[in-house]
Amino acid sequence: MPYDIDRLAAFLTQDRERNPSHYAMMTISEGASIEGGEMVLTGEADAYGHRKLGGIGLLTGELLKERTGAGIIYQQVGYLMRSGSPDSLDLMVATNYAVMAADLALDGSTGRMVALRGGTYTHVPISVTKEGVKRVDIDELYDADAYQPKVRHVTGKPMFLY
Amino acid sequence: MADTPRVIGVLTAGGDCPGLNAVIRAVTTRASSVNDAEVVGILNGWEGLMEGDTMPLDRDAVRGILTRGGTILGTSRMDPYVHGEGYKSVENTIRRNGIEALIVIGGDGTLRSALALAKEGLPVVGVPKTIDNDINGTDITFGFDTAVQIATDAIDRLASTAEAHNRVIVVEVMGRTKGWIAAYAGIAGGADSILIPERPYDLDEVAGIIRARHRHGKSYSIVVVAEGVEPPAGVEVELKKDAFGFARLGGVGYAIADHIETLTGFETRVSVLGHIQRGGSPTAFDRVLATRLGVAAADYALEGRTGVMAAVRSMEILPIPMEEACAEIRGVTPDIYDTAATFFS
Repeated sequence: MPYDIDRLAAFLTQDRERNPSHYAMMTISEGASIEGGEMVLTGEADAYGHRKLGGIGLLTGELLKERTGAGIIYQQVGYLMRSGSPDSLDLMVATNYAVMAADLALDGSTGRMVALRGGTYTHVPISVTKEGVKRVDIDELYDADAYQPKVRHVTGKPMFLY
Repeated sequence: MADTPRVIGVLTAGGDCPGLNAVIRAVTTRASSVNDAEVVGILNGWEGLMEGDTMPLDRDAVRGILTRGGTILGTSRMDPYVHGEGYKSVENTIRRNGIEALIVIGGDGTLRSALALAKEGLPVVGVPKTIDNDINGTDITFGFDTAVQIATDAIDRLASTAEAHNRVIVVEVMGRTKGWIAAYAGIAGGADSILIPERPYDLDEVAGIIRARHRHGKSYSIVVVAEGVEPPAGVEVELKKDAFGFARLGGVGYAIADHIETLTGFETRVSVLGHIQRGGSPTAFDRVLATRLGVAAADYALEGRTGVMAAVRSMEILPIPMEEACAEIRGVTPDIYDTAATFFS
């Protein structure tokens, strides 16, 4: 959902004032957009039609500085997020996916994709990926008024919530 | 030399640096627990000394802060000689708290002002602080090891992604006008090229190294760039200045990456490590160094010394005249660069 920059500025100012160490922190997704604006894209489209996202954090920082006068530290995490050695969970899931995929191939299956559904390993038709992009369930997991995560009812949800 | 002071003030000024809390803890414990002196914590650097914002420090106040990044006293970029009239602007706070000696933990800009206050008659002892390791008069500064570790971890991660994508990744690290972090992290991370301000660079040479690696089957490369290098010829990078008159750096990595991509034809990406290099828990080395420096600074202050800073010489801690910190900015020595250059292939 696009966000209202003035509302955000007000929240952060309040947070900073209430904090005895006098600071506030926010995270922002590269695909976020400001109400009335568009996603910040750069460069040429690649073979899949994707252009590079990125820059919304810098832009947001500048707009916040204009509105609040506070010192802003902007840290883009970027490639550091996707690089490096996998942790134990990623290693386990990747290995299990590989075993499942090999079994499917050896069985002569085709057009399938290994997946996790509700915390359970399964496989689905590859065509399911054409049906849309998996988005955060804002109603269930996000407080759209306060711009904060809101995970209130977890009974019955799988470990990773969806 | 002054008489033995019974009340010592301590402040941290300028940029954040891992190990600040370790120094505060060492100063406080050495002065108050071991020597029964009173320690007054000044909040937010020189601003607290000018405005009268203080907090009492004792052993309990500093328990558990050894491992914490940041500074429990806070910091700012205010300066009594830029935003005030020197000693006159801090006199009230000094008198009201009965401060007889001041321990100042800061970079060369801060220490310059500390020295000026010492010349106006206030006994001052300094502890040099920077992740950039460029303060003259000391072999090494606390915070540097942590910054190098952070940069090295990042380079390790980025190398794996560069390899996966057959890309060149330009990693821009901090270091202000010198290449200490770039040189050390570059060596530790196995960089294929390191650009530091102390050495003029030639991007054609860098492109040559990258192409040679390609021919030998390594279709990826890591180039480490210190934020303070000159931009490639013909490129303007905007610089702003901070309160102490130092230029604000950052962004030259993008210009260099553009040139490398043009020269080699290989996809080139940039990672500017930024503020993560300053933050977080200090390494063991930095905790020990910061603690040794804090203990020494407390001792120097209680001995009535003034105008000196606790500095490292061949891993010994000595009181060195603060003038040395302000004399020049210490750069990477040729032997370190030559070691790094051994591996540019």
